[in-house]
Amino acid sequence: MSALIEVRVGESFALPDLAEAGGTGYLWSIPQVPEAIRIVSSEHHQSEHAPAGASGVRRFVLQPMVSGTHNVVAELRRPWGSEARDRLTFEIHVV
Amino acid sequence: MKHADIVRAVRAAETTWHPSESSSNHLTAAALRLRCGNVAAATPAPREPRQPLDVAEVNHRYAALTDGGAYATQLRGRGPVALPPRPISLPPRPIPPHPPTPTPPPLPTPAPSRPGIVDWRTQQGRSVITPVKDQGGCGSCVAFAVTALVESRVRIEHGLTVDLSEADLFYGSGCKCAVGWNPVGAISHVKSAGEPLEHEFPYVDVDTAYRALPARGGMLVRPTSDDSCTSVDDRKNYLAHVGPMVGCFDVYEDFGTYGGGVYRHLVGERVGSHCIQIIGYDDTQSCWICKNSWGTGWGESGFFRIAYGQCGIDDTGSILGIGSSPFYGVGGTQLGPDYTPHDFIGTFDGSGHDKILRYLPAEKEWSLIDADHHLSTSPSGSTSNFGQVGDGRPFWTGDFTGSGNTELTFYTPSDGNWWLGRNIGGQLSWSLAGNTLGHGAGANNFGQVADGRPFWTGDFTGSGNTEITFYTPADGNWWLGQFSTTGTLTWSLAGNTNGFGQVADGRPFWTGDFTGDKHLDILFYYPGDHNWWLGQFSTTGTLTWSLAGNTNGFGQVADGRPFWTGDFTGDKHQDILFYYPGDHNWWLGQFSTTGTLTWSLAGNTNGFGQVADGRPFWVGDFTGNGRKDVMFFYPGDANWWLGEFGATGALTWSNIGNTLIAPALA
Repeated sequence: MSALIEVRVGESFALPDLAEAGGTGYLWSIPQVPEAIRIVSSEHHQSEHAPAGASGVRRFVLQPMVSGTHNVVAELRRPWGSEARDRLTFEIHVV
Repeated sequence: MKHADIVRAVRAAETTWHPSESSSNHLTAAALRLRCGNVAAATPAPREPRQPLDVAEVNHRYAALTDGGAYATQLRGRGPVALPPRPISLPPRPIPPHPPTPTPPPLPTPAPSRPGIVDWRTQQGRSVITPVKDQGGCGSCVAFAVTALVESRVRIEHGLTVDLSEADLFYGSGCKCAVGWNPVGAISHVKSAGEPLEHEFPYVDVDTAYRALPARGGMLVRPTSDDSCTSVDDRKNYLAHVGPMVGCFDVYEDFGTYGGGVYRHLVGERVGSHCIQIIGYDDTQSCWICKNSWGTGWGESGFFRIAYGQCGIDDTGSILGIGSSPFYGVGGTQLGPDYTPHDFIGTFDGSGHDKILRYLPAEKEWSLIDADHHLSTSPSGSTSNFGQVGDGRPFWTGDFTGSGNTELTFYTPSDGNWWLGRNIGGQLSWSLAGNTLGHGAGANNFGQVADGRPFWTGDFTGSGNTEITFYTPADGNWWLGQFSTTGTLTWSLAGNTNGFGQVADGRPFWTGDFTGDKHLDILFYYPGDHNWWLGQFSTTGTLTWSLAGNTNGFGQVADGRPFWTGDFTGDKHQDILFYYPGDHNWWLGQFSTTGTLTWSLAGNTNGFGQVADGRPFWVGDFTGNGRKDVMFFYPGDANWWLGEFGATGALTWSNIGNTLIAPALA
């Protein structure tokens, strides 16, 4: 899947929250970050009182450094696994 | 935190565990740079058609993988499709310094009876831990841990290996992948609803509508008790003396990279909580030994060790399974009737010695149990495509086709089919042998033969093969079924007992080679006139009845007294023996070659008191002299008595031992 986000140079923005559950071993990551994009933060948010196995969300905050169109691919995978369970492509249109 | 950063940090640290040797850890430098964000060498990914960003769609991708859309619903209305630039001024997050590794809590002084290491994979010389499974992308870890716990209890308490259905436990309780669960709820559910086998409700790692299983009760496993342990000492005592447990802990980013050793959280943030089976502890390494549900490709073939006190595993703050919780155990597992095995004994596999062929209705699987010096079990086929054959339908064993091996035949009341099971290459191979409902090729229409009528098996015609005969109460006909060498079952009318009235009136029948012609005969006693009738089959299968004798002078012998058959005198004829409780006399009936039955007083057990008091008796050639003996055990004094017959039929009793020091035999 490809999705479009329009942002301005230098302004940090968050990708949509991506659901993940550490109890499954699957976590979202951005294995290849375009040179024009900087990852400001990557944080997992979850209630401390959520039951075992419950999902939280992964929030990536990015900052575009150069104008243009850049693809950011997020993958849901296990560190030891070879296959991504899901892969999302965000097309960042930086003006 | 990037996976590569975690791996680097773990490798650089002086720690007790190592990251996994997964493919992502073996990237080339260039590939690693790519993965770490250096795009200088990257080949731009092919562009896909531009689409406007749809937040709901983005999250639906994950939600569809887990909760079937519930999470997407939760996110609906979260904001504009394209996030407007926001003045977020978050500073770049450096890799946090290693948090101080908590000092393991001081070890309690081990109780004298508690070992320093307990691992239920090897405890008691065998593993009670079932294979590692994979929960996939669903937050069903609690169902996996509790299921593993119940499976282990079944191993401990019943010696059975079962593969239970996590899906039934998880989805059957209304749980959702994205919501997770807690051990208290899972244990409560399995105690009340039970848990069936995996194949009845196979696991999938996406939210699944629960479907009620037909005939659920027969296959259920249900623990009846549970325990919780909060202190480390209590947990170890439980693990040492009772069995595995379940527990929960906080999961940090570095846990996914674990490849072996004693895990201690080093880097990365908390990403949720997790529930696992605790299968032991090791005081020499100060760690719990655990079974995870992330497949065998993770950790130590799916297992891991975690240091005492790590990640909240030893905290006891909440009983809801929030990161930390007590450890829980279950016990008193009750099995549904489908777990009662059906056992048959014979030389099924051509090995030349007897084995036990076991059918377990719950699994619909057959296995061969070999007890030749050591016990081993091997799978021997499945009849799952027959439905449930362990439903009370009759089974018989014998060498039906003359193969030299023991074979198995069963009758299916619903369609009248007769199936023959033969061992081919270590597996039971089933073939349709015939039909008795009239729609099999060349078959007779007998109607429903599984109506309680009697069946007998044996070599009635001297063919060398096992045959099967049954009596039809409605018309007094006797039918003989013979198998060809290829396994086709053919029925022929052997005879009729119309003139006898209804013989299927509860009178006793016996089979044996009473006349010594190497044909099995059928003997019955008619209480009405005390006559004994002997049925003999010709080589062509014709059944002829003759009056063998009479016990008029004995009073009514069909009064519940015990009878035994066997060649007690060594003349290659089967004899019949009974004991009369009224006077403690033992009478032996011997047949001539022409079928005349003569009774003689064999002996007396007057000095023994009443031996027909429920004590066990066995018949066999215990002394190896070619004559069957009678043995009994008297629980009152633990004495074992052996009755031996002389060639003329005189019975002599001797005391052969005492098992007072082994009261379990009583």
